[in-house]
Amino acid sequence: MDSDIKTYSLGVMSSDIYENITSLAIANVKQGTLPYVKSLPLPQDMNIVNGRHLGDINKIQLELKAAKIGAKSLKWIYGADAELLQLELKDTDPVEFQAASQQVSKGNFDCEPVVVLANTRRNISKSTLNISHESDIAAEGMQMDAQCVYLLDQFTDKSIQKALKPQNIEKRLEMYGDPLVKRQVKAISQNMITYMNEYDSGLREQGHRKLMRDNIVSNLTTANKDGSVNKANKEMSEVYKGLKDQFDDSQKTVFKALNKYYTKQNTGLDIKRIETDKEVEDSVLKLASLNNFKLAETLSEAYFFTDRSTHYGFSFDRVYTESEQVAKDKVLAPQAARFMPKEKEVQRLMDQKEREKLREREREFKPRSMERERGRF
Amino acid sequence: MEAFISYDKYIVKETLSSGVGVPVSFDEEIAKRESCRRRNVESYNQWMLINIPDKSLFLDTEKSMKYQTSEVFQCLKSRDFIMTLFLSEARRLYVSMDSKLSNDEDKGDEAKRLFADFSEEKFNNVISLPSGLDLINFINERCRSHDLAKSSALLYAAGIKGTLYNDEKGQRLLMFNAAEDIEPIETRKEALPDSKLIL
Repeated sequence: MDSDIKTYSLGVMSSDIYENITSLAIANVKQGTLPYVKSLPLPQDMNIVNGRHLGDINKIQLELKAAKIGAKSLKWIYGADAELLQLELKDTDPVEFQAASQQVSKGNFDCEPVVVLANTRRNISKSTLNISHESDIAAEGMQMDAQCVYLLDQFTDKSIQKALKPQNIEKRLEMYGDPLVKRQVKAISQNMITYMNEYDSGLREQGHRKLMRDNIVSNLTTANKDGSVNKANKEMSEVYKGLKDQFDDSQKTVFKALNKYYTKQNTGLDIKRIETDKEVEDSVLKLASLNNFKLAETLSEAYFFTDRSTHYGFSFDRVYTESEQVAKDKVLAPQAARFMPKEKEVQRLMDQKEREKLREREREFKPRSMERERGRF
Repeated sequence: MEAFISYDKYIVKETLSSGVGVPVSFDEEIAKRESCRRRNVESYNQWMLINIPDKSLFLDTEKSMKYQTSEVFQCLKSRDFIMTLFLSEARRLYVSMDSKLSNDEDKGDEAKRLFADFSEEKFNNVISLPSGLDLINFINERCRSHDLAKSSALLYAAGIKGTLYNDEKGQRLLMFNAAEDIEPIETRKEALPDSKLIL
C-alpha cells in the first residue's frame, strides 16, 4: 500500500475531474451515502490552514469524496501542508484504519487524495526567486496546476493531536534551519486549532451568514417596498429560466434538490425539498450514465446559481451589502494626461476578447474568503 | 492534572473579575455545555481533555491571603514581583539610599539588608489582604492603565498560573496563558441535542 502523502500530481487532464465526479456519484448512490438527500447537509468545506472555502467545481468533487469514504467533516488540507506538519495517513496505522473502514463507511474508506485543479496557470517564471515569500501556504507557494487535497479524516488522530500540541510545535521547530519555515509551521499549527473550531461552531462567520440570508430573501421577493419591480429578482428568474430551457427532466430534479441543499449549507435556511430521495438518486444515476459530463455540469451549475443568489442584488461579483455595491460602482474623475509618457516601451495591447475571457476566469474561480476585503474579523 | 475545556473557550480569552484568561473546569459536562455548533448542518460540539499545572500554583480568590498554598507564597515573595508592584516606593528607597548608608564600610551588605527589609514589609502588606480577589483588585488599582490583562500578566510573570474561582457551576480555574500551560490530550466531539445553536 502506498502510504506516502502526495503533494502534487502530474499529467492531470482537465476532463479527469468530470470523470471523477461521475464515478464518485455512482459509488455514492450505490452505497446510499449521497449527501444531497441526507436530512442535514455537511457544513461548508474549509481549508484548515487558512479558513478559506472552495468556490468552484472542486467543491463538488470534495463533497462526494467525503461522503464516499464516510468522512463526516469537510476539513481539508493541501498535501504539501500536511507533509510540512508531518501528519500521517491512516494507512500507516492498522488500528485506526480498521476502525475507520469498519465503523464509518463499511469498507469504503481509503486514503487516496482528491486532485483539485487550479484554475488559471500562473506565471511561474516571475516568481522562481523567493517562492516561499509569495504565500504563507506551502502548496500555494509552489504554484501548481493540479494539487492533492486530503480530508483531515484521512489522517490518524494521533498525528493530528501531535501536530496541535503547542509544546510539540516548539520541539519540532528545532528540526528546521530556515526561520521562515519555522514561522510557517508554527502559524499553520496555531491556525488549525482556530479553524477547526470555526468549522463546527461558525461563530466568526455568523455575521456573514446573516447577510447571505437577507440577500436570498430579498432576491426572492418580486416587488420592492415602494411597489416597483425588483430588478435582482427579475434577473434571477431570467437566469433560472434560461437554465431550465437547456435542462431535461432529470437535470431539473437534480438542480432543484441541490439548490435547496446549498442554500441550507450556506445560510442555515431550512427549505423543504419536494423531490423524494429516490427521484434525486435516480436522476443522478441517469445523468451519470450519459457519459458526456452532464452530471458534473448540472451539479456545478446548481452550486454557482445558489452561490450567486446569496449576493446582494444577484450580482456576479462577491458583493454582500449595499455599501459594497456602491463602493464598487464609484465613478472616478478622468485624469489629465502627463506631459511625457512614462514608459517608452510600447505596450502590447491585449485582444479585447482574450482580456474578457481572463477576467471572467479570475472572477469565477477565486477561492472564497470569509474574511474578504474588509480586513480580518 | 486533568481538566476539560470547550474548544470555543480555548481560543478566545475572557475578562472576568478574577483576571483575563480562559476558564477551565474539572467537570466534563460543563465543558460540553459551553461549546456550540451550527444549526441545520451536520456539525459537532467539540471539547478537549487537557493537562494543566498543579492546583497549588493557582491563586484562590475566595480564600484569605493567609491560607494560600506555600507555592503561591513563594511566587509572591519573589523580589521581582514585589519590586514591580511597589515600583515607585522602591525607586524612592533607591534614591534616598545615599543618605541612609553609613560611611564606606559594608555598603553593599547594608543596601541588601535595606531592600530585604523593604520587600518583607511589602510582602506582609500583601498577605494581610482579606482575599485573593482583593489582591487582584489591589494590583489592578496600582496598574497605571487599570488594565486587568496587565495585572494578570504580572501575576503570571511571578509564576502564578491562574486563579481559582467559583461561579454557579461550581469551582473553576481561570488560566492566564492557555498557549503555554494547556497541553491538549484528546479532542472529543459529539452532536449534543440541547446545545447552543448558531444559525
